[in-house]
Amino acid sequence: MADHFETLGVTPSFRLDEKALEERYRELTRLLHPDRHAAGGPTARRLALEKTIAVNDAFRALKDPARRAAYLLKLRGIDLGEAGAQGAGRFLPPAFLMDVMELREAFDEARAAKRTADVEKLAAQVRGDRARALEALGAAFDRNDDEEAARQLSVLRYYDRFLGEVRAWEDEAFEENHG
Amino acid sequence: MAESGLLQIRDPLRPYGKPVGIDLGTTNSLVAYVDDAGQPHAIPVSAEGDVLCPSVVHYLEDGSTIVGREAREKAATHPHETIASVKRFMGKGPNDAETQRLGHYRFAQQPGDAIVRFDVGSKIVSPVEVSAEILKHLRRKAEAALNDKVGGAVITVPAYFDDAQRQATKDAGRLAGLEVLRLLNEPTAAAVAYGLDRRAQGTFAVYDLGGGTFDISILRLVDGVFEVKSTAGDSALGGDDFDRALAEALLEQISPALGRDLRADPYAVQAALFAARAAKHELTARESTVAVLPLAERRVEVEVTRAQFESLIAGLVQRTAVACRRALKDAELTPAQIDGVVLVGGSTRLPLVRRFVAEIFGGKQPLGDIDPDQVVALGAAIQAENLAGKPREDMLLLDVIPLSLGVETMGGVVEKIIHRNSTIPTSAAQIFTTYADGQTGMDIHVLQGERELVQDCRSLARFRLSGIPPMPANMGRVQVTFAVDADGILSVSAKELTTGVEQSITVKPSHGLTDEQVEDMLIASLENAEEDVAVRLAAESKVEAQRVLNDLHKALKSDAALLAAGEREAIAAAEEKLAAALQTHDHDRINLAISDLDHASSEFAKRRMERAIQGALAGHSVDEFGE
Repeated sequence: MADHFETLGVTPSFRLDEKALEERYRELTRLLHPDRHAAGGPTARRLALEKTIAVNDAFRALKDPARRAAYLLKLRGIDLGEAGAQGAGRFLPPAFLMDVMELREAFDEARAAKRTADVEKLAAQVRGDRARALEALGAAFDRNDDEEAARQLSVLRYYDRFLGEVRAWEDEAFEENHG
Repeated sequence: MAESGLLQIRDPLRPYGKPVGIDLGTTNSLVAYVDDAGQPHAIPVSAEGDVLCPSVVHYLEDGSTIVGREAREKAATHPHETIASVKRFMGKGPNDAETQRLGHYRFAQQPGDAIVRFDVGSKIVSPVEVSAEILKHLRRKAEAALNDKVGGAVITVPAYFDDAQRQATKDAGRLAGLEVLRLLNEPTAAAVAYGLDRRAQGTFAVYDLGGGTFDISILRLVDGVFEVKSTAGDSALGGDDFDRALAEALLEQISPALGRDLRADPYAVQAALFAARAAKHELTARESTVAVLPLAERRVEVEVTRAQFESLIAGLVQRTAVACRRALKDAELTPAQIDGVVLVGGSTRLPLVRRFVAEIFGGKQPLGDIDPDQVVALGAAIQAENLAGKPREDMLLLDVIPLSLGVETMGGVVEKIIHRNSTIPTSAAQIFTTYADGQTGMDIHVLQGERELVQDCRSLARFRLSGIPPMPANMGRVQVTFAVDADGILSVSAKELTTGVEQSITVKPSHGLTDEQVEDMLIASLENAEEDVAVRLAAESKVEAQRVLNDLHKALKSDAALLAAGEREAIAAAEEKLAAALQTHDHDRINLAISDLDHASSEFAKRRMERAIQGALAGHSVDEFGE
């Protein structure tokens, strides 16, 4: 079976033109979507469905830099799993884990005390850290340093998980006010 | 090439009848079509020219039905025999919260039932059967008005409908004798009607508050492609709830004076709901009105002001903000980045709702100039024409799955396999390992929802895999593939990886009908209608045969160069067999001949598809190949 890069006909690389990728995706979708083959025979309809699923899945895996990095690493033999921080622990430096523990404590305190402004401040800080990790991830790929890329991706995923928890907390608070 | 002559039988532009779009609504349903000039129109369903058909079915003593306005008029005198708002029960189980709300239904549950059933006096019916009566009615009205056969339908569903609700809707379509071309999400349908009308570009929010459901979808429109970025909603929130809130307040207010609990009286409940709905409509344009309840003792009149009504429903309207916020966040957009807001659904006529929407989207005045009751049906008609009539080359709808799909794992935890707002069609594969020596079967519990625990998500189905080759524990590795099609409906397939053996799967829907049950209902309904089952099934097969032949002839004309040696002869032979089969009413024989023809031409079809893909990947534009 074709890998996601082949499906979309692009060279496997972390640095890719996201706009061109999207155009390619749209072009293939226009061609293959089941709606385009609704008047076709059973084989054409089945193929249209299968191919469109492959194109959708490939685009989803490649359009987002973090997912693209994970997929690229997987092709190169480092499997960090689909998402989340599981399996990523082995790449994380101890100093980072200490920082994360502090961050988490601060978050728990602010959350328990419902200090929304403090949570927002922490989130902004983590977003900045995430942007730096993303840059370092790109730089590691440029040097073909897969170990370092795996490390940066693991760090980035940690931040994403943290930001996900912040969002869940905000969502909950909002829902309480609009229940 | 050799023409078989079959093509000349009908107008080649629409060989299978007229495609229609159907908005199967909680309160009202509509059917629409696209005229020869490409304009969509709602079809009148009453002698007075109304296009709205109340989604109400009344069952007579002999089990036959009345649908629409006449049925609604029976509701006051026959609350149990008259089913309104059936959409709220689609895909629901007997213990669902929906059955506990204020209403005038008489439920009839048999032990072990997976779905809601109503006792309508003359018989017991499921929501799928009730919906099918509405669809049949619309089909008959459309056929009379268009003086043509209805050749397939796009039926709209709330974007936030889960798998069970979608499947139930599709089953209803099939039971009504319609070829369901596609289930289309209501906000997407509305966007189509607006977008094509104005040739709009940009990012839009569609706020759809109907009789029973609420949806919010964020879409991006680029060059005729309608790309849904995110969707959220509440499939149990709508104008019905506004009526109910006011009806409850009225009943509570009146009960003491009459010395009895009116909420226990189905006639009083029905009268209050009716009065509440009328008052709601009045209060859209006026500051106050009088609700009139003709009760058994006497006629009671209660004054209701807009302010009172708005305070009763404010909490319900507020609830829509949760979904709006979530849809925006999932699309990674702020209200300021939305170019326009489209209002859909009768409930968006309420001034409170309009003010609220303007506030949520940063003061932008929402668009509501296409009739909010009609816009969904018009969009559905455009998509129906696109699929089964004259396709519009530039138009494509890309929708998403509204709720995450997951499987139950150890400890009652749900592991997500397909995330909400993934573009459909899509798929995901998961590997399960056998845990016992010689294990040959496996149960997989599929759920839909965002929460972590099984009890907080909605159970869709249990899939029982069997036929795993016996192996030591942990050696059997079964890859299960979950695929969601363009209707948003899930299917599952499984394969043991070590041996490559495919597993057979038995599906036990948690809140739905099995394929066999739908088949039985279909046959029973045809027998009741004294229609010849064989002729009807043959007619369906013949439509499919025409489609296959049409497509094949087009392909042979444009891509004959791609035929391999001997292929043309094999295709011609299979075609001849199909032509012979079409002279009969034997649907098994026709289906077999279709399948043989498809088989004979399948390599050719693959080559055509591959060539098209290679063309696109080589950087050609879409227009440079094909015809």
